[in-house]
Amino acid sequence: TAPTPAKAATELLFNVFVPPKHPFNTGMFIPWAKDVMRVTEGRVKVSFTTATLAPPPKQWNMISKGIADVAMLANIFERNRLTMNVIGDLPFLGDSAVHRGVALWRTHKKFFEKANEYKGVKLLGLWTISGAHLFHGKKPIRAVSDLNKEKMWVIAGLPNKMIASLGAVVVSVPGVKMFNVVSKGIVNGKVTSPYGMNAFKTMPYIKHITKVPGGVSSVTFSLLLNKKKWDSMSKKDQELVMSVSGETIARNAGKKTDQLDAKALKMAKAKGITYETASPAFVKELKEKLAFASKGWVANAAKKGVDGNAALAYYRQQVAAQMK
Amino acid sequence: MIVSLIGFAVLFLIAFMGFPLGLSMLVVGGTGFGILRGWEPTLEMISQQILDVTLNTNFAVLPMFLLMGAFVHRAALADDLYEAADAWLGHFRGGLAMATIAACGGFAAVSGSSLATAATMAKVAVPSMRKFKYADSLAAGTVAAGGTMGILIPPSAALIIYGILTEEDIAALFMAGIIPGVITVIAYIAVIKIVTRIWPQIGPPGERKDWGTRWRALARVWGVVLLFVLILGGISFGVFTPNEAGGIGAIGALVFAILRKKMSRKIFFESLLEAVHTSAMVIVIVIGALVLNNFVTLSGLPAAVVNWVETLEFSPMIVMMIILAFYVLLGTVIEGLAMIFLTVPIFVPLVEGLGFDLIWFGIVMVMVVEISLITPPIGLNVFVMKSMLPDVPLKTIFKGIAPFFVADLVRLALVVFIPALALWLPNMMRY
Amino acid sequence: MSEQTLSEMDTPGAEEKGARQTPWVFTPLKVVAATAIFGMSALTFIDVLGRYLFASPIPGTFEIVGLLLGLVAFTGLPLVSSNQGHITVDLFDNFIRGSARRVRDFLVLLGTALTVAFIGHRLLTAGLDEAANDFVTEDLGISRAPLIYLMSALAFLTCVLLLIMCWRYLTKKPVTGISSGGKHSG
Ligand code: NA
Ligand code: NA
Repeated sequence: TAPTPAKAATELLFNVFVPPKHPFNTGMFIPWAKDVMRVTEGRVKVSFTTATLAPPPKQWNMISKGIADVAMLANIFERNRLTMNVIGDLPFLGDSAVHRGVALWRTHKKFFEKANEYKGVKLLGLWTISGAHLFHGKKPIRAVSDLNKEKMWVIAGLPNKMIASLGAVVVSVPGVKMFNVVSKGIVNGKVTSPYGMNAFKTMPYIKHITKVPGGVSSVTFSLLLNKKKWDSMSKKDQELVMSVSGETIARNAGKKTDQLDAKALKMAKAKGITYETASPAFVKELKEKLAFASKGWVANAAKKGVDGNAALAYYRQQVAAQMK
Repeated sequence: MIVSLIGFAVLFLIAFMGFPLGLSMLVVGGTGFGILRGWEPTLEMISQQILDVTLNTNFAVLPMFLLMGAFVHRAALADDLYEAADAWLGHFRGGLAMATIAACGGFAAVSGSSLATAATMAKVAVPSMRKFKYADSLAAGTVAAGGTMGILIPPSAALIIYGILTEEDIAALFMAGIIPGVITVIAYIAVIKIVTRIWPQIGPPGERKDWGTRWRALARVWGVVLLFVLILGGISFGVFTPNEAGGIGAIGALVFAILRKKMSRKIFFESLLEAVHTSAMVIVIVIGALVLNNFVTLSGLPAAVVNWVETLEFSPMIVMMIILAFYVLLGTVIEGLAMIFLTVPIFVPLVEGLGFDLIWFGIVMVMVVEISLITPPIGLNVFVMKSMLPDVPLKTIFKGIAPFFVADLVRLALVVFIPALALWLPNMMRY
Repeated sequence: MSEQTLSEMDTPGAEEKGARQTPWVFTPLKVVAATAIFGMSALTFIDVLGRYLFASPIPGTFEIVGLLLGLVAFTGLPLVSSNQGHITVDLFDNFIRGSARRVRDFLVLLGTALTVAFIGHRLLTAGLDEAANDFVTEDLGISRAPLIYLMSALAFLTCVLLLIMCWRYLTKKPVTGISSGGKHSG
């Protein structure tokens, strides 16, 4: 172990379960660790595990029990606990991961924090990937009827329910198995971000892309810190850590994924994959069919004493403000 | 990193002194993690691992396949398998030994254990080979080596445990074992052909059976074929998960044993308890292995090993050769699954870092574990043979094994240099 | 090598061990253990059958099977431990003789007892923690805490059995299981 600096240092063990070259790792985890050490002048040190100490679904428990100190959580794994963040999965909320993520964090601060969903851990930040497009290997998706009985890969949770409600047959195997289900024709299309299209080497099986303005859905993540470790830090260090967390986390992670999205779309165009934006008629149809998702979320929010309609309006407003 | 090296030294010391392996790993892994990370996180980590293993549906695959094995052993399949193989192969020179290998392969297709395969086939095949004046060395060597196929040909306890420890897909691992298993059967039969050509007196031909007998004998092994096809077919076409295949296999084997009138209330109860017993044994080890794994991960040893190997600038294949040579050496004294538990935390990150496929490596690892079961001085399958043939000296058994050991090295080289032999089938799978 | 070495899984010889010595405490354990492992297999089987033949799988099968696994593991623990049935790689077995061996055997028993008690304690803490946090399973929405307490109790029972064996060892009475281990000698 390294020699301890003169002042009592807080050492944070950051559990990493994504591969080293994953954009979240290079774009956010590592810069965050450097920022934290820089602004606290070394009083807070961050080290990374070389492999995960718990499987991805167990990250919350791992952090709340202090097995590791910091970790990323795919919020879907705590879907019973974290119902407010599902706002980030809703359709038509924004294309850019930066916009969506920053808006999510601001909405969290203003509306969700009081619901105290993160009881038992310290939430450092929230982020999302960009708005999901519709990808298909055989035909362009131009109307809801084009999805009827089509086998589509969608991430589990609300996105899965939404796409299923459009008549598609949804398959939600984990990302690592995505190549198998796409390459073997078990699914003919996917609903994901452009980076997601390319991430699992499935681009060769895609022929058509339909961009839905604002995205059909997205995926949200949290950065968690052990509560005891947080409480053990001085007020000043807590402030310093938060000064490089929160919105910065959403921005850094989002920037990286937005870049990769652009790269993937450029590659797709170079390969002759068709790219079109959903027609106003298609968008209208989608909005009608997917209205249940927002309604359901607003109802859930009410259960936690949150004004869901106001929160949604605020979220949209935050995205719009960033687009100016 | 130093902590983890000391940890391994202590682990080997207390394990070799006879402290249960799973508990040794739990104690050393827990202590090491505590030194690096503090005691409170360690206690929580151990709680998490215990619950994660014991209340995890994905691990239920193990008891269910063990139960299937327990029922299968009592269904007296081995006799029919041997009779069928004998009807077709027995009249060749060395034919009874060839039939033994074929029957071992068939038995391995419904049992997940190498020792069970060896012990069961020994009871069936050795008396017949002795009757036809086969050399003890050939008879014992054939069964000891043939028995090792139990963990290569699916279902396989070793592949399930490798899958649990590395979080690799058990269905894909099962698929990957099939072609190497078939190669093994062919290679072992070729070995018998060669040794009986050189020394014809060690394996005289048996009786030639007429075609009617042959087909009738073959028809009686339908149960084995049905169970195997049901389980593997179901998994490979995505009809059910390995877990579900375990349940279907267990109940299928029970039905099968009842139809063959081999099941009584007492035997039923015994089979269940046998599977419970083995499951508990293995679950304790899996908990220990996962705690140890977290300690080793936290210590940074695997990353250090990967970095160090990178500085050597050997080609990945050379590193793989060194790893395999190490395994064969280690396998002389450490047996079976213990090899998997003790080496996975270090070697799997290294192998992955070198860019090898972990499904393929699972098969390679099981093949070196098979070799460990028949290499002196400590070879469990050999000891099984010895306990069943007390009058045959150990030296004779090891002598009989030598040609099979050579075949093992050849087939290992085949799978190492042609990974498609393992990976083609899982890549064909629907999921 | 010890009788219970790693790859010795489901060998035909194993059933004799199970039937060997049976103090009364083992009977209920065995009934629960046997029911749990058979229940797990039968439930899985019926669930698949239901899904394909009648398009009606049994809700919660996935979760129940996982809970039954806990029962299998911890009813099995006293059965395995009291038989000295844990998997070992005692490489030096043939070199340890006489009184050294008696000391070794005693220490292994005692160490096993303490480690198993530690496992029981971890389970008890985990159960209390889940109860305090009102943790429920995802599909069925039930609390796992009672099951975890039971698993903890079975681990402590195992510890008690091993301590009794330790005591007998000290008082030089024959120890169940340990002398009849039937070791494979070379
Ligand atoms: Na097998
Ligand atoms: Na050996």
